[in-house]
Parts: sequence; structure tokens; C-alpha cells
Amino acid sequence: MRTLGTILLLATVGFSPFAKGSFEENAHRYMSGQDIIWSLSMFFDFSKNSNNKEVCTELRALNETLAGGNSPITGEPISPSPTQGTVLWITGCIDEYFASYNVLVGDPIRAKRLLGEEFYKSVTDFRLWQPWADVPENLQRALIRHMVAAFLGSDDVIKDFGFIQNPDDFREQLFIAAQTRTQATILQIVTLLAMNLSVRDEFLSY
Amino acid sequence: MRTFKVLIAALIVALSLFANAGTPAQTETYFFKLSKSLRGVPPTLEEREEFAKAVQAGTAEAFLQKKTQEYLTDDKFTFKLKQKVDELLKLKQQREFDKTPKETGTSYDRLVSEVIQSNSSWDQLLLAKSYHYMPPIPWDFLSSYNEDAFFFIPNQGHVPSPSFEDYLVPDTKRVERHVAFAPDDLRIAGVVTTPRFFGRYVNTALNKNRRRAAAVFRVFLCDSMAPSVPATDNQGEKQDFDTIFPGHSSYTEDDIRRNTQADVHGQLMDCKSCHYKLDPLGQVFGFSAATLAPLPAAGSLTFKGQDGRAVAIPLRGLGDMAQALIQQTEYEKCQVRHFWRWYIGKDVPVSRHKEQELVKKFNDLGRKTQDFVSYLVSLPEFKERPQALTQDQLLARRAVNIMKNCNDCHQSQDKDPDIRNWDLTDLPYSQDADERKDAIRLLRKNLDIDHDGVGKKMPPKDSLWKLSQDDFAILRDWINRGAPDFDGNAQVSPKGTP
Repeated sequence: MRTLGTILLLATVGFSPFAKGSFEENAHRYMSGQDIIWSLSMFFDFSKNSNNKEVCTELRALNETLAGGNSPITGEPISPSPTQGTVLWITGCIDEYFASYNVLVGDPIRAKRLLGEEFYKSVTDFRLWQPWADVPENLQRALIRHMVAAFLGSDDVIKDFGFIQNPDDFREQLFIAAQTRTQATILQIVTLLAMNLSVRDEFLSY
Repeated sequence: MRTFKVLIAALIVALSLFANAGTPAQTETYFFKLSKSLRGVPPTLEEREEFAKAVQAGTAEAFLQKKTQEYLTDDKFTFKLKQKVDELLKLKQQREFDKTPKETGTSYDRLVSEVIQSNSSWDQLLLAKSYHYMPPIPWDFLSSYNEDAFFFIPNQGHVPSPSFEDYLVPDTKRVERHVAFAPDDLRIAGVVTTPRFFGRYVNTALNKNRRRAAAVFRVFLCDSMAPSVPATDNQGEKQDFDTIFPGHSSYTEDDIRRNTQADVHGQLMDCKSCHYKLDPLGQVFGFSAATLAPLPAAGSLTFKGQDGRAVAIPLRGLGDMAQALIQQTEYEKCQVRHFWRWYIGKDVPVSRHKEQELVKKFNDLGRKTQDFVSYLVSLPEFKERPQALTQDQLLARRAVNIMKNCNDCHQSQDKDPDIRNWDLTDLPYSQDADERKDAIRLLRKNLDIDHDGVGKKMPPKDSLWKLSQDDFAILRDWINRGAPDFDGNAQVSPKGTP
């Protein structure tokens, strides 16, 4: 029974990225493809990506179907809600960004926006390629706290959205998940957190 | 005991997933929604700090109003609303934000953007008589929208020839052109007389500008003329062709020539339900093919209003068409519904009473774009927290979606005023329980819903639109559940209950 309870509780995390009801008839409105690009550009400058930067900075035939575009014939969305392709598009762009670009050196404004003032100031001592395990726990938690707030909003906004009932628990789960990656660098953890948060409904819809 | 606690915790979590809060979103959530809806991005971190300070100071409302005005003047708001207009006109959307509208701007793009940015009356989309645009690149022979040819040939009889220097001028140094027509120029009607509109709705000798007329009816009067949409399967296409050209298999060459001239298709009853509107309005486009016509052409704006009145306004040209359109109540209702759909959502129904309120506000605000959007985002319907629909609420929306097709015919051509004025998409059908019962009984009988339409009277046998088996299943389920309205309240007793 305890296992069942745990499974049910974890299921709320597993299923929460998906909106209730259909895109056409539910009151959750997903951002348009252009909105998604604009919102991501608050944290990432995808023009610095080495590969396929146009796919991450502009809507084209290649990515339009992934970004909620309308069929010109019917005027209706090609897909009623974000698909696996949408997730791959967003996470692919983020992955490429961190692989191509030294965000700390190249774009301190976005770096502070992404990492938070507290973590940004301390990480110059660590550099992003240092092991995550070497970062003091209070800074680890500060980073997670900041990134959740930056992408999803304050605790009130998160709770009001309806998927996450306890933001503290959510942050704790992210912290535990980060700790399990014992060999990861700071950059890898930041990349994973950014990917996870940027494909959540709380970020993509309103 | 432990098992019991775990089960209760799991139940609480499971219920929370389907919680139907129905309470106004908290102010900060509203702030996020405002920012994302109007300009496509969440509030910046700096804005959130300012908001937190405003909340502490007790000035959150004033802060949100200030931010609303700021977002409405943001370039991103203009871009987003323009994209919605592009979708409405079924035009290819402009994708590149950074290059819009001055660098790429066609006359259509610039006009729509200017109407939004300058907070002009929405009517300017039809009434505008001047255009700005970037001239085409001289060597770009494949440029789709040759604005110069469209506007200058009718006026001057020729296109300004590029000089040798023009060929040397880089793209970024092209100087925009401005073409202004007289305020009483009968040939000009805002977005309708732009190369993009003409290019999208191409005219042919057979079509006779009806495609353009249909677009005008759909966009400005929300008259989509659904019954005239032909079938797409082989069987349906053959049936439609036989209806349009009866006896065509035995046509001689003379018959074919005669039919091309006589326009037989436009004389048949079922076709006339749309053609009596399309043909007179199509004439107003005159001889416009790829460019603006040098002279205005006469025609008329003809349709049956939603209140049953017959509208037949003679027009001297497209300029008159624009003036006539903006004065129709159907135009006002149609435009406010577009805005409602864009900013509140198409899944949030608009009652007749609400529609009247919106129209009044639209007019009181001088039909100004930004002002009306500002009003919409202050409504409780915008602030309400999202909630999942119940099965009955969802069913009502699906049933009404099918009934829209019935409205298209009945509201335009039914001789019985009671039927003509009955909006099948407006639930509940009456405040009186007996009237509601009669209405549902009539629907059930005339569509023969219980037998998948075997003995149906409606739609008529020669109608181009027919209900599918899925449609019958939805309507049957809806009626058996008491024909619930949009709030999920049964209009009649569900089947099996007294």
C-alpha cells in the first residue's frame, strides 16, 4: 500500500506536464510557436548555436508543425497540443546552446537571469564544468529555487495552475534527481533543469 | 491505519488533478496571463519584483493597468494580433518578427500593423485609402506581390521603371513608397484592395470574383456559407457535379458554350442560397484580376440579416462596400466575436446578452483596437482560472458545432420567421421548460436522430451537407443526457428519468 501511495504520488509528477482536456476545448491556451521562441530567448540566445540555429530562432517549414502552427487550409492547429516533436525541438535547441556557447562569458545578462544572482556570483569560482557534487548544498538549492521561479513563476502562480500542489515537494524532487547524477558537471545539471522546466505546461501555456 | 492514510492522501492528490476551482485566478497568475496573452512572453524577473512591491504597497491594480497599457503598445502585441488577422484572412503568416513590418512590409502588412499600433478604429481595415509599402527588388522577377504594378498601373498606366542605380541599391536601402487615394475613391477598400488579398483569392472567368466576395462575407459578416462547400470524396464530387451541371454527360459542344455563358449553376435553388449574396458582391470587384481595376464597378451588398431583415444596398464600388459593411449589426457582432475568440477563447461561449454588451462597448470605444482588447482582458472571463469541462459541457459544445451548419441555411433562407430566428447554437433554447421540450422534440424528429437519419426531413435530400454517423451519435448522446447547455445543466429530462 505504501508502494501504491508512492506510485500514485509520483504519478502526479509524471503526468502533470500534460494538460487536462483537449487543446481546442480546454481553457489552457498554449503559446504560439513565436511566443515559445520569444520566451526561450529571455534565457537563451540561440543565435549562438553552432548547428541549426535557424530552427531555434525562426519559425520555418521545418519547425512550424512542432510549434503549434495552423494548417492554412482549415485554419485549425495542425496538432491540438505540444507533441514529442515539440519537446525534442525545445530540448534540442537548449542542449545545442549549452554545448556551443560559454554563457557565463558571452552573455552575463542572460546568465544571471538563468542562474540567479546568488549562484551566478559563486559559479565563477567553480566554472560550469566543475562537478555538481562540489557545489555547497545551499547554492544547489538556491539554483533550483531560482530556476523554478524564473521559468514557472512564484509558488502562488505554480499552485494556481493546478498541476503542482506543493512547490516545495517539486523542488525537492528536482534536488534529489540532481543528486543522483554523481558524475555530472554543473553545466549538465543546469542543462537538464532548463530542459525539464522549459517543456512543462506551466511554462508553455497560461 | 497507515494504509488508510496513504489511500486518503492518494485520493486527495487524484482529486486535485481534476479540481474544478471556478474561482478567479490570483492576481499574480492574472499578471502572467496578461503578459503571455498580450505579448507572448511571461513577465520579466524585474517586472515580477516591481509587481511584488506593488502588492505590498496595495497598488497592484494600478500596476496591472499600467502594464496592460504598456503591453498593448509593445511591438510583440502588434505582431501577435496581426498574425491573428492573417489567420482570419487565411493568408500566409509573417514569420520573421525582426523584419516586420517596415523591411518586408507589403501594403497589407503595413496597413494592418498601423491600424493596431496607432489604436485606430478597427473599421480602418476596410476604410483605409492610403498604403505604405516597400517597392519590389528590381531583379526579383519572382516576387509574388508586385505592389507597384497593383497600385500604379490603374493610376498612371505604367509601372515606375527602375533606373540603373536602383539595381545597385542594396535591399536595406530601398525607400518605402506611399500611395494615397482620394477619400471618396470608390475603388479602394483597405485590406480588400491589396495585392495580398487579391493574390490569395484569385479570380477566374468562371469564378467571377465570387471567391473574393465569399472571403468578405466570411471575414466581415461571419457568414461562412457552409452548405456550398463541396464534398471531397469521389461519390460526393460526382453528386455535386451532377447537381451543378445536370445532364452534362449528354452535352454537345453548343451546350457547353451556352452553359459557360449562362452560368446554369448559379440558377439552381440550392446554389442560389449563397449565390444571391455572392454574385452581386462579386460584381463590385469588377474587372479586377491581378491589379486594381481602373474604374469602380457597381453591384450590391445583399443578404438576409440575423433578425430576418432583407439587406440590399446598391454599391457604386468597393469603397461603398466598405462603408455599407461597417454599418451592419452583423459586422459589429462578427468582429467582437473574433476578438472574443482571440483573447478569451473559442471554448468560452458568448450568450446573446453578452454579445450585446460587447457590441455596445465596441462602439462606445470608437471600435479602437487596443482599447477594446484592454476591455476584454479586464473581464472576469479572462481572469477566470482554467477549469476542465465536464462531459455534459463538452457534449454541448460538440452538439452546437454540428448545429452551426443548420444555422447557415435556416437563418438565411427559411420562410418561417420562428425557425429563421431560432439560433440553434444559443443554449438554452428557451427560459420556458415546455418550449425547450418542444424544441428538442422537433430536432429529434426532423433529424430522425434515433435512427441515424433514415427517415429524416432535415437536412434536405439534395443538401450538400449531411450528418455523419459520428454526428448522429453525438446528437443522440446529447439529447439522451437532457440536451445540456454550456454550463452542463439539462434543458429537458434525460432519457430514462421522469
